[in-house]
Amino acid sequence: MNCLALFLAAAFSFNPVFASTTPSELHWVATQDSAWVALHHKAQNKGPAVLLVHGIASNHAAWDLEEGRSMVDHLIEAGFDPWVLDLRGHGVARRDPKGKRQKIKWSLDDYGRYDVPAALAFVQAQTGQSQVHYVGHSMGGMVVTVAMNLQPNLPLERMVILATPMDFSDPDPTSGWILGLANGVGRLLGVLPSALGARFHARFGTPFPVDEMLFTDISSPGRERMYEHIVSPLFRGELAQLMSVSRDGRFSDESGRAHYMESLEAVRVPTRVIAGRGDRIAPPDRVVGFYTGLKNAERDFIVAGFSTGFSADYGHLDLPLGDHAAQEIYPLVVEWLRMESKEIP
Amino acid sequence: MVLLRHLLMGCLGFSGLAMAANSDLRLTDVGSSSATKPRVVVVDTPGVAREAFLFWEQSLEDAGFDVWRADFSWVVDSPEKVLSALRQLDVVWAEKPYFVVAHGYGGRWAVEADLRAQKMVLVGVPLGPQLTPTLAAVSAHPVQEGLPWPSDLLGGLPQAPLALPLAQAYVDWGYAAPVQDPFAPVFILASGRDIVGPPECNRLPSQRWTDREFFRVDAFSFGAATHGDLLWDKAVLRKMIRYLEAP
Repeated sequence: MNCLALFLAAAFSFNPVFASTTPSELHWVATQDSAWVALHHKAQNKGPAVLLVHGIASNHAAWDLEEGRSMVDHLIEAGFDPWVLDLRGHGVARRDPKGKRQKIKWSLDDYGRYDVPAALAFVQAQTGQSQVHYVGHSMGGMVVTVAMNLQPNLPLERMVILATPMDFSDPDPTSGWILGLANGVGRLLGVLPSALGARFHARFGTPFPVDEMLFTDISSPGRERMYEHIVSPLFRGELAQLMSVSRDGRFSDESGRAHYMESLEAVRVPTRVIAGRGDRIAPPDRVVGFYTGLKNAERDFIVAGFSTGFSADYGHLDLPLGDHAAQEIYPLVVEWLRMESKEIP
Repeated sequence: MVLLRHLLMGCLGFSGLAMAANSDLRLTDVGSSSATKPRVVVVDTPGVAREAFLFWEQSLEDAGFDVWRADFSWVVDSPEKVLSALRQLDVVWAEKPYFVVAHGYGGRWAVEADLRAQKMVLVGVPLGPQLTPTLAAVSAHPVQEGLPWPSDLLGGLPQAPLALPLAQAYVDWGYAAPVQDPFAPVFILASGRDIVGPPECNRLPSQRWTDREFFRVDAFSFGAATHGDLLWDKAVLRKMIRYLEAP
């Protein structure tokens, strides 16, 4: 009974005020299919624009959690103009500008087809820049792949992709079972209340190896703050698509006809791909598919781990938020975005 | 007690057979000898101490296999000698079916030797290059202290002296083309935290092999096994035995 009371207290004490090192402006952007996404912007400079897109079940706070864990601050200090996206249904875009809860059926295809192009067009309009840099974490890399497949001429300058799985061959049976279970719950409830679960786990702990699966290098109180702020619900559309990815062993559209890894061959945007040695959600052998898929672009691949000279075996969330990310990962992002693009024959 | 017996047997050369003409490889029947049980040879790794493989040897013997150990003389000093010594298995056991079980670089030697084994179980074996440059490096000394990696990254793996040319081969494999599809069907087990043979160094290069199964040890398990941990991981052992017992 006490447990139930604690659970309910944790569940209902949620205050949707998101983390940020300093306040940012919020911009609402309508998509072509009449949904809404939110863009967070706090730069005062007029540097090259960068669109940052979060991963699955996450939100904009993954890029700007607190001092020392803020890709946004690092980019601003380096002279860039970062714009941080909340995909529809995530972060403040869980609801539309009028406060009405948005739908819950959306898939990765929807995020790539509508949200990414809308956000890029908005940033272009606001900054007057013809091209925008892109930084995506995990699903944030998958959705730009969808977007580039549908619109090969997206105005992208250079990209950095962190921990985005693209090679789903040799599917893991265990992952398939867990996804199947999540998918079943998602179909029943419409959403998987991952944000609620994360807050509960942060405060009271659970018997599940959640920390071990997600990160290796995030110490308290950053860990608790992260669970409190960066987690959004998992939607049944996302789960259904990931379920079919796991079943088929490839990242395809909802109809199963378009294979996104193959579509990367047509991409010409210079891209740095970074994987974490300790990443158990998107391990290097799955992430490298993004790199190998980019056959015709300037490209670069990095594995962040002890064995390659880093201070940690980076886990899935360590790349944007780890204790050493500001010293080791953010500079890699800046370095790549600053490079002059080369023509690949 | 069983382990002690095995150690004594090994030291006394129980059923041991120095097969290679230059004595680079010693083949020892560990535990009780049996002509009826399926034969498994545990191929040791030059640069790794023999005790690292005792858990596998004992557990496979307990599981009903006739276990043999193939270990290399510490003076073996060239890749050619290692391969030549390993290929003696097919000469001595030309008429006798056998399985191979190997870990890390030992597995790479077994695949390079293209043994005529019935099946091979390869645990944390680098079959293709690393995706990015690593810290693996050799010193200038003719005999290295162990594998050419910072020892604290290998997860408590007991190490042994290693000739420079073999250490150099290990480093070179990190940049070389993948090994060819072997004769034997293989079962590959890998862990993402293993720096020597992570999944990108074995799952990806073996994808087009004719008869190959793959298992990711750290998929949704509580711990992530390092290179050394794989030798004591019970899930690895269970999977290995199940594969060897399957028809």
